Amino acid sequence: MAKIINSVIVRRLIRKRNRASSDYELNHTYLAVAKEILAEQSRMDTDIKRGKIEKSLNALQQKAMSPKEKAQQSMEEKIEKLNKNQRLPRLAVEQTYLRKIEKQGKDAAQEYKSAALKKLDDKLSAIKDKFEGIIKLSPSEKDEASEKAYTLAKAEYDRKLSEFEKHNKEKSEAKYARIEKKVSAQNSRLKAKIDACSQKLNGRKAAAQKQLKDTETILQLEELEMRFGGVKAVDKLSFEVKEGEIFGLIGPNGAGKTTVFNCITQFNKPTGGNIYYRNKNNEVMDLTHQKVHNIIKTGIVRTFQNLELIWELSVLDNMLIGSHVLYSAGFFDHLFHTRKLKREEKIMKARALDVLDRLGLIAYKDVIPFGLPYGILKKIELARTLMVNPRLIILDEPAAGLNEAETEELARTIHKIRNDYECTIFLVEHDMGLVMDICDTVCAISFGKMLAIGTPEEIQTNAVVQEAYLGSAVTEDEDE
Amino acid sequence: MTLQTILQTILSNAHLAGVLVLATTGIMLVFRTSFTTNFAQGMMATVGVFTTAALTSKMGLNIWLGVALGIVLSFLLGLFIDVAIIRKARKVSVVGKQMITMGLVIIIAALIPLIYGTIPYEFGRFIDGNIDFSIGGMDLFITKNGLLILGVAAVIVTIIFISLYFTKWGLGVRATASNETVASMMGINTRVITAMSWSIAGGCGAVAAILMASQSGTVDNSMMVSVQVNGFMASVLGGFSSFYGPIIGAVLIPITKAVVAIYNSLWSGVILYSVILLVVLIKPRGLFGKKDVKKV
Amino acid sequence: MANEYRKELINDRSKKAKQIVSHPLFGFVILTIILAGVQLLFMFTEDIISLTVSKAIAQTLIYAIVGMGFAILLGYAGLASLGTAGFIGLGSYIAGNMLKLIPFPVPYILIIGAVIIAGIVLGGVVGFISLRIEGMYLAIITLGLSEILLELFKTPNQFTGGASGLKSVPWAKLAMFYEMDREKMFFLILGVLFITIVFTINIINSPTGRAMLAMKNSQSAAQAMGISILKYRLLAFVLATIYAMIGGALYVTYLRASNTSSWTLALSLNVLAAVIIGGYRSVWGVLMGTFVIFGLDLAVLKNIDFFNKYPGSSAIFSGVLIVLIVMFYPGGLIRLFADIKTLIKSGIEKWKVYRYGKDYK
Repeated sequence: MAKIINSVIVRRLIRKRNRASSDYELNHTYLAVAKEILAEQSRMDTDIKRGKIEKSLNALQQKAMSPKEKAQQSMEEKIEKLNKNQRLPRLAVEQTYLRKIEKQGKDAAQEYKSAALKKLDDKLSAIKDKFEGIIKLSPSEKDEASEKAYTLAKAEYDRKLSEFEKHNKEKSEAKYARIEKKVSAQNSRLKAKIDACSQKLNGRKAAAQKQLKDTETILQLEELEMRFGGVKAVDKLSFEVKEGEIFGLIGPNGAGKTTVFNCITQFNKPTGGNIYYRNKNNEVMDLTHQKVHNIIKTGIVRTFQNLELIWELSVLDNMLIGSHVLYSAGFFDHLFHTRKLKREEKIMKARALDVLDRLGLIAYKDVIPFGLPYGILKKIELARTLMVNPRLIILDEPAAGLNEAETEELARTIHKIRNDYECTIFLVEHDMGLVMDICDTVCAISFGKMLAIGTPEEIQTNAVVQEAYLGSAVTEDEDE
Repeated sequence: MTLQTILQTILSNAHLAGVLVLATTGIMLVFRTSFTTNFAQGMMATVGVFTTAALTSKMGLNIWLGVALGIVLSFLLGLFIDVAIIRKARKVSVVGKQMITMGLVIIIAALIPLIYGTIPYEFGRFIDGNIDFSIGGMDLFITKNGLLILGVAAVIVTIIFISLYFTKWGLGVRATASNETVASMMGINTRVITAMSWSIAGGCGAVAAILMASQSGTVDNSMMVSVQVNGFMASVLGGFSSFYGPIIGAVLIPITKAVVAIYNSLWSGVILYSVILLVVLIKPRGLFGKKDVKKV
Repeated sequence: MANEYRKELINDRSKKAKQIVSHPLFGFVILTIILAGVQLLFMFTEDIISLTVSKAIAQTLIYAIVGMGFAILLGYAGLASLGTAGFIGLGSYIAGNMLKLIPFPVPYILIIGAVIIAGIVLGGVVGFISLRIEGMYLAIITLGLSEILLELFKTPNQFTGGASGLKSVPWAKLAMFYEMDREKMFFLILGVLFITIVFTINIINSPTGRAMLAMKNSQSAAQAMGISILKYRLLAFVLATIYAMIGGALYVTYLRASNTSSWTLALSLNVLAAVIIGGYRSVWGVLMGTFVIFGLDLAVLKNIDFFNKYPGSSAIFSGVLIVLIVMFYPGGLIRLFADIKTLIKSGIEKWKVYRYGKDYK
């Protein structure tokens, strides 16, 4: 009984701490995003102000000009406007001309064209003539008072602008300081909460904790077994995945690779064995006790064999789905669109755009994924996993359905992700070329049983693996 | 509560089971071949019974000829609905297909008063009188008309089931039900199969409605609504994924309701539906259903 | 900001007017003002707007509220329910009985509160059922649930009034003392509708809406992304039920009667039809759909002699419309408008290319 109570309390404490630490991280991101946004906002405001001042300055300049200059300017404006207005009619004349060549012959068309163009030119020159007459007649004396006002205003212009800029900067800095103060106060509270939770946890769990053999191990399967009725899809499978490596799981069709994945992510509840995973706080947990939708909270994210994107949402919104667990805003925040939710949306959007940019998907951010090339879709699904700062990414046949160029691109992307996000990658793959190319460790299984584990070179030369693959993998290699 | 009362209640309500079995057969056939719950089942049937009633009482046509014409009309209506509408809506989602059938319900329900007038028709029994008999000293009776209904329903359902398992059409239906695409690739003309199922559903429905009218004595626009609802409940209770499940459900529902009503006539409906709800919660695929697995 | 693509995170203050116009609620504010104007017109000059029309508009608005909840359920969570009528009915009986049986004046907020609590309970029950049963089975099971409710309404007792239903329900009081009447109730309905629209838009544009869509499109992906199917199914059903029950409460306080014959399968199907015809992914679509299904019938067609002669025959329109739209326009009427817009745009574009050549821009 005491044990059960203890485990319940431990679980609650862990949940509380994880919530707090995720909020803590979010706050940090928020500060960065807020800083950028405020800076941009103040720049934009300055631009608007500049535009306003210039407009009033221009009005003053107009006033200060002599009638002659005024007429000159208005002529220029008028002609410019007319030229702009005549652009489309001229194009239309050109098109009609081209059509007329085919219908009525070249001469008639030429005739039409010159007549039409002449009409337009006449209009232009008529206005020119009219204004030139006015310019000739108008006096060239300037109004001294307005001129003076203009020069004064011009001198004022820079001072005013810089003053505004300074003021604006101060304002946004003050705002940032306010936000920072608030966030840091919140963060220190969160920190205290995290520490308190960890301390309580340390006292409670010490005895119950399972210790992994190797401190570098992130995932350890222990005698994993999965039966479907009478069929053993996975049979006493044990191996370890080390932190930071790219681990490949290979095997012929029906070897139970995807079932292993489904067991790890709890889509299938294993019928026997344990799956240990070390989270970022260095605690070891047994994944078999987790609910399927809580797996992502431990830092494990997966993709699917056949793309599971949300076809009714834009790519950006698909990315935001990936960060669903990070939101701490509750339902009532959603209902009233509170400031908290807006703040979190901003953070997540900034992060999503960042990830999309890194993977070269930014051009697709607002489109519905339906109908995009398969390679892009695979990449989007991959990008979605990065939204939660994962520790372990599980890729189910990432290269399935991709052509050679896309596969190469994918290999590069996977490497980039591992390096940029410092996470471990665990993948199932049919494409031996890709596996041998990018994996640090490869594990071969057949009918749910382990055949061999080692570096790609070791696996390639392993006799048992070759036998299991004879006729499938060997020929596949030759095909490529 | 004596055994006699219970048996007598069952006998007095047996005709309801007969009607429901026929209606459910139609629903089930359409569901298995078109993958939609057909809300128009009841309305297709109502058209048939209105035709029969109008022909016989207004035009003085021979009753059997009227019945035959009514059934044929519903048969053709089923065929028409499939060929003209459902076949063209192949790509529509499951809910969409449901919506189409309910749109048809609205259309037919609105057309019937336009064509047949707004006054309900009267409808006589085919045979009058009761059959009295006794089992183990208990005196029981059943109306001759009720017996006729039971007999007709049993014959029709037996014929349909024999054809399902022993004819080419039945093989086609079963193949289409298990996988439409594969069936059509194996050379089965799923269009014809589906069209046939719709027309048979229409015909079955018309027979059910005519039998129902002969027992209740009137024909009106909403007479098949409760049959329809109970048909769905029967299908869910028995399990859509088997052919015989819905039929067993259709026998169970009216009988159970009648027996419960002996004890508590006020709440019998509530109790019955609640029990069905509980059963389906425990066995989501129905009493005789098979589970299907989705692969991740 | 270094990156051009992040521009959308900042609100551009130079386009204030444009921001107001393109705000998602702008259109609804206008609509609310117009409807209020129509009602004022009715109150002052009965010649232009008759009582029938005013009543029809009010009922349509009530069904629009119900439809919005249903749109969340069907369009976002992907769950079909045929129990709507039962839920509306239950809401109406709860509200009606509160007004009838409680001796002191009941403030309206209390009625709404009671209805919401009932909605949470009932919606929760259906939500739990939906975890075990899916798709068409679920639709039929909810139909069964609605039948249970209908049977309960029909059984003669003092709360539901048996087959004849609730009659002469007293007018509600807005606060403790401000008595409502038919004219004032209209504005209350309008206000509730507006609040509902705001909440609906907020929900569908929030992580909740996205999570529901994710669940509808791919359960596995949703679960892998940490979305609890249990939570969002329950939420969707609770929301839909609350909306339906509030609709029922407004119905009984506006029409002052609740009849068992109103809460049958036909009403559930009509709500479903309204949502599908209009387009279940947009609030405008729902409003349009409810207008076509309920409004046209109540306000326009019933005033034409032909349809008066054969009651119910006006439904042919909605029936044909349902079939046509589902077959040829799965996006609903709202898509039709969008398509017409793009059609016109592309037509203009084509004409311009013809007239000015390919590179006229």
